[in-house]
Amino acid sequence: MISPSNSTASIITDYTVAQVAAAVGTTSQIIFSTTAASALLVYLKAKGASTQLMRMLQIMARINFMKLININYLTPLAVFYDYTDLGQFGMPNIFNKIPSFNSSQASANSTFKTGSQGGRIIFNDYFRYSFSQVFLDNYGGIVFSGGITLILYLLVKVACSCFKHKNSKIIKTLIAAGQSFEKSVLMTLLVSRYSYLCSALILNYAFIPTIGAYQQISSGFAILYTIIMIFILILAICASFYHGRNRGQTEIH
Amino acid sequence: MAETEAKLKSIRPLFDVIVLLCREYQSKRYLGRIMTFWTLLYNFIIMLGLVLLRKWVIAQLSVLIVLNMITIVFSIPKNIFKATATKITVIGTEIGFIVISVLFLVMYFLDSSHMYHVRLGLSWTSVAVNTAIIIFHIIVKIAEFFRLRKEKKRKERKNKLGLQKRTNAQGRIQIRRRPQLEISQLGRILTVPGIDFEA
Repeated sequence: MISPSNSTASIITDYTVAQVAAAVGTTSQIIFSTTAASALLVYLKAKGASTQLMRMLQIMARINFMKLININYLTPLAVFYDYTDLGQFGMPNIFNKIPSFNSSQASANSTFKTGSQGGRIIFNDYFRYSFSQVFLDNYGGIVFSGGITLILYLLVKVACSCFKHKNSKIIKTLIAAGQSFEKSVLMTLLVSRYSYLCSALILNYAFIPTIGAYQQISSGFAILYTIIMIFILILAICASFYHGRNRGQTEIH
Repeated sequence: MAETEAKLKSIRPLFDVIVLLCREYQSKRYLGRIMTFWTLLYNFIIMLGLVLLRKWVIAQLSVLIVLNMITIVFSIPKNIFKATATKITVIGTEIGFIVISVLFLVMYFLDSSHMYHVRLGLSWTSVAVNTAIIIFHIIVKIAEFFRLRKEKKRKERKNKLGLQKRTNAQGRIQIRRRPQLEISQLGRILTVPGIDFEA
């Protein structure tokens, strides 16, 4: 299913084109970053009741995933993709930094013919765009940021229960933050990197890397995220059968 | 339908989780409600196509174009999106992705030929289209912001004008009523036998 096709693909590199492409790439990067930052501001101003951030990040991810198509789209587009990829928001995958965890090993018993290099599947032979077979390698940063957000949410919940005066300003803010997390933050995080989640899950189930503790933990996370994804999809199906009038009441305030 | 609704009432609190995803779509129409699910499924199918159909570039791009077209068809009817701006951005984005897919197809077919400059032009066009998708979103959002502000101002002005008209009308009624009241009050107060003040 996944195999290298053209390992001797020729890429003509023109110095002038490369220079101009780099300049355009930088400009595009500024546009993308500014858009994401302004969408984040709108999101914060709306106290999480805005879909703009989620939508923008999702489209940016979609734009970037087009680079996986195995064609020689020459330097300008390749540079553009290099500059505008937000990836996992630069969040580190702390799981592969744990000692004795052996990351990114190729699955030995894979039934797929792969164009893989050290457990990575090369999608574009011309520009060597690749993804790992291991779920956490592709999505570990998001899992990490999701975990941190979850811990913050739990801390907020604990803090809420500790306060005696329920009418105080602090507790009202904390309750609002908790509600915002339940209704917005988690979903924004999940949907904005939805393409990454899907690709990481598909690759994980296509190769099922289970050799080593890191790979096993990664598969565990993949199963957890699969359950979450299926749960959300089922909810979305149920919501489409639910009457509009009633559903209108479940609004974010 | 009523039975389904009754069953779904028990899971209604869980809808809070996906309420953000449903915000942009009209809940009155079935097509509006199904859009949340379609968006999730659609992105999943895109990834499935990109990852699993890697060997078949034409098939990959065809699947992408078909999916983009289905989304456009779903978005066209009225009362799907709450805001027209969202509808415009969704359709615009999908058209942008169709253009990119077509450009990729042409680049793929020209790969074996030695038309470097044509391919280079197509590559630059792809960069422009990709950037245009994002800029288009920004422009539509800005336009929507100004439209809403204008509408709000117009409503405020209308309300003000209405209030002013009402106040003026009330004032005129009071002015008209006051002399009559005064005369009638006078009539009641100054009731002198033999003289009729109201006459």
